[in-house]
Amino acid sequence: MTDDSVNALIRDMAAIRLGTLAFNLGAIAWIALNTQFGSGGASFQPGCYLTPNIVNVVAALVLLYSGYLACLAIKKGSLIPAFLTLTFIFAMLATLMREI
Amino acid sequence: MYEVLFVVGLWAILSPLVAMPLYERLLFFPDKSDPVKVLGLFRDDPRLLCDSCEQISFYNGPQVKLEGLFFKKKAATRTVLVSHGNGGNLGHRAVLASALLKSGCSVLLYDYEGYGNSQGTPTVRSAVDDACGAFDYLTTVQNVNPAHIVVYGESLGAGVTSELSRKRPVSAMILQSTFPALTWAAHDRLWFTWLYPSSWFQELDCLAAVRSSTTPLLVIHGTEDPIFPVRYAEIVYKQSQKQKGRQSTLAIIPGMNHNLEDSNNPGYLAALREFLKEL
Repeated sequence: MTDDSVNALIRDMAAIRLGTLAFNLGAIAWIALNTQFGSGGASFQPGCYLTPNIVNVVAALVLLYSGYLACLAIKKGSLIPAFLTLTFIFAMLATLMREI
Repeated sequence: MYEVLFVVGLWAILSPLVAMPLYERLLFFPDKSDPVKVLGLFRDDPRLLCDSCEQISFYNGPQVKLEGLFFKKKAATRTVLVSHGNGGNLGHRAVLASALLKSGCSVLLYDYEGYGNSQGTPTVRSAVDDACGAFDYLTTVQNVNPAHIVVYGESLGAGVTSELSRKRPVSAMILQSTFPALTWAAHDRLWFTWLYPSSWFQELDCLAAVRSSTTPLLVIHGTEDPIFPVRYAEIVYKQSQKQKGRQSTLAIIPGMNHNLEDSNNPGYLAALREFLKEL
């Protein structure tokens, strides 16, 4: 029986593809994390996740997952996109630590 | 190995020690057009609200010639020294100057290096020198008593004004659309700047300035500011309250944007007049 779960798909992915996936997911999550919804619609407001809305919370979880993918990519030998992804997570944690 | 070198190289190239001129290009947006002509484009012309308007010039620390406009009111007991934000030039601050004149003060607007008719190129360091030069001009050439000078910073100018308050004996400080420190704003806008120590950046530190002085402080922030969130003003205000016995006020103005767009904004004018009255 073949294992066609997401984990198996990720495990079988080439390092560079996994790194790129992590970066793309991380970048989208980073934008969503910093998106605020007000009377004038959605706007990019860096650091708005300090008083998070539901989109920010989901984005933070997706960002952490992209970090997990980035770590897998590094383990497999792809460094550049994975490193960029980890900078998003570092920035989020550093901002939270700065203000809480 | 190649990838490791690439990442380290990228980190080094974007480091503030190397790329500070690039960051300063992202920070300053000077307009070289004639500020007096720009001033005339506004319905709120501050020249109609003062007794005299003088085109002035002075030199900053490194001896670069800067220009400004001094709006004098004979009955004024206070002179407000305005350090403007990072876009345009002093001509674009017609509304702000009008509002300050309406509150009963004389107003000195000046341009940083590279803005309007001022010579030079703007940098974080030179902006603070420019503010000191403007302050010295007021006290030495115009013979204004430092105890009557209120320093006013708008946006980036709030950082410049904070640094000025550490270098000169100002009587009061007003920070509009402020930020806690330039590195805070950098961290929030360019996430990768977290990868460098704060000491590598040239800093404009409002928090340190309000922490180290007992100068009366008014923090003004608009609820509709799309550039800096209201929490920035609250952080600066909370820091200022740690100095016991200090006069410190936070005015959150409903509907106000990053820049003052109406010189008759009732909330803004009320906060300003109340603060000046208590000095």
